[in-house]
Amino acid sequence: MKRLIAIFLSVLCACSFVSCSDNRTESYENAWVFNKKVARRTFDDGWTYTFDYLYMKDGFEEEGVIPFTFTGINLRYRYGDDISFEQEMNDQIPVIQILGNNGSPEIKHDMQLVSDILDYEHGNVTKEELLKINPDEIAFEELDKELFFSLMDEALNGDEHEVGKYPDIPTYALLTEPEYIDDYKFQIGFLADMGCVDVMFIDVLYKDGDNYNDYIQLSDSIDNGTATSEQVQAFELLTSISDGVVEENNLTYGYNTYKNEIISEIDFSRLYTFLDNIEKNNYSQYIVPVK
Amino acid sequence: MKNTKKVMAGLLSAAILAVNMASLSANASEVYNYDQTPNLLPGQSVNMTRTSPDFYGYYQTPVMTAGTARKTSTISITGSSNTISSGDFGVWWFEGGVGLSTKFVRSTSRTVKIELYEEDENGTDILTKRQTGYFTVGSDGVYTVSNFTGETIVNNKIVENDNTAEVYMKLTVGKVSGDTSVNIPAGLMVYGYWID
Repeated sequence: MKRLIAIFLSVLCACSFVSCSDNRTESYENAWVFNKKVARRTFDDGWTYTFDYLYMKDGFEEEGVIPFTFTGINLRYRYGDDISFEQEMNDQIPVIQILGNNGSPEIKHDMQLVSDILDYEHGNVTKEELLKINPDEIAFEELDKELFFSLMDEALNGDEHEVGKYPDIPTYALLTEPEYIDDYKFQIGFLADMGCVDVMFIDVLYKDGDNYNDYIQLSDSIDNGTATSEQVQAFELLTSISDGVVEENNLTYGYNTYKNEIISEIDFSRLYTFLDNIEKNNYSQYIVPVK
Repeated sequence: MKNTKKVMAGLLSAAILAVNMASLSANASEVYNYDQTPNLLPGQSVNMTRTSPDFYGYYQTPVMTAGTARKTSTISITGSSNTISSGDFGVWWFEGGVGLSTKFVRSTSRTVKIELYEEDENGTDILTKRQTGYFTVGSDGVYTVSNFTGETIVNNKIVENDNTAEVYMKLTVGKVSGDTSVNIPAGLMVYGYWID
């Protein structure tokens, strides 16, 4: 797991306000009894941090609603660097990295502190109370304080999250093709809210052994300069597809232009099938079994 | 017999398989009281003494419809005795790898009813235990099932006259009034069966 430190590696997409483009319709808006404000930051190491604020629409009341949450989820690297020997021996390896669930005691401490600040237990803290908190009085041990408070401020003072056409899409998932075919498989990670895909990262995993984590990610080959020119071309297409999915809130964005492409022996028709299945809520086969 | 596993704290706010478990001492009996040790791995029975259970897992919960019971796959689990009673096996729970959609209101009043059955070849399956899971937001900020009551034995009797039980669950995720969907994805939770 790449630790969150005060220095940002590089920003892939500093998404202050998420938008799902033009497919907001009256029918989707009326399907929700609450509104949300969401602020996200995505970094090159795959981590996306999210602060979200849920509030009921007028006339709707619900007991026990937790209005505020803060999460960090990695959509690029499924397995962290801190899997213990015991976890490996007992086949208890987490299949997605979520901030605070593995890794340093310092992060666990900080996420518990966040839990207290946001009152996950009862949900009784108010927006006004949160905005009055003095960051200097909060002692995070590892979590970037500026990141947390800036996201909170953006979410609490920002615009409503738009609503879109994917109401049943999970709020997060990191999916892969179930088997290697031709020694590679696609991996798709995404974050979604209010029917919109807000963040998506698509990668190719090249088999490099028989263990659960024996693979080379195309994105790493790009970063370390070992990718061929064809692989660079393939990755650029993957990036344009994921960007288009998010910008247009359309899981089959651009499929007519890429579904028949084979670049660097990567068959993009498989990617089209993968995204099409997600759109149809037929994605159970892509949920990675517990290792 | 497989290596034993000992439960550690931290699962209540875990994300995907944030399973913090350590090995049970192979020859020791340990009493787990869920109420007194709230950080205990969910699924541990209250006041139950167990030694070196076998573990069968991991399985992902299927696609479910909120408000409707869904039967999981039947799994055969083999214990160390030639007869199996209701209290000789149970379920351990872990968070899954996929989040609920935002059409489900993030309310702590949502529960999941869990009923554990032993399948009878004559068709009269036996309800052995009940348990309730509670949706909460864990310290990781994820809204999912992260608290469980202890298992309640419903029919305390011998359910098999051999060393293998065929077990399954019926799961019912509750609705909350602000929900605007009933479609729960596969993989919301992960579970495994233990048997003495």
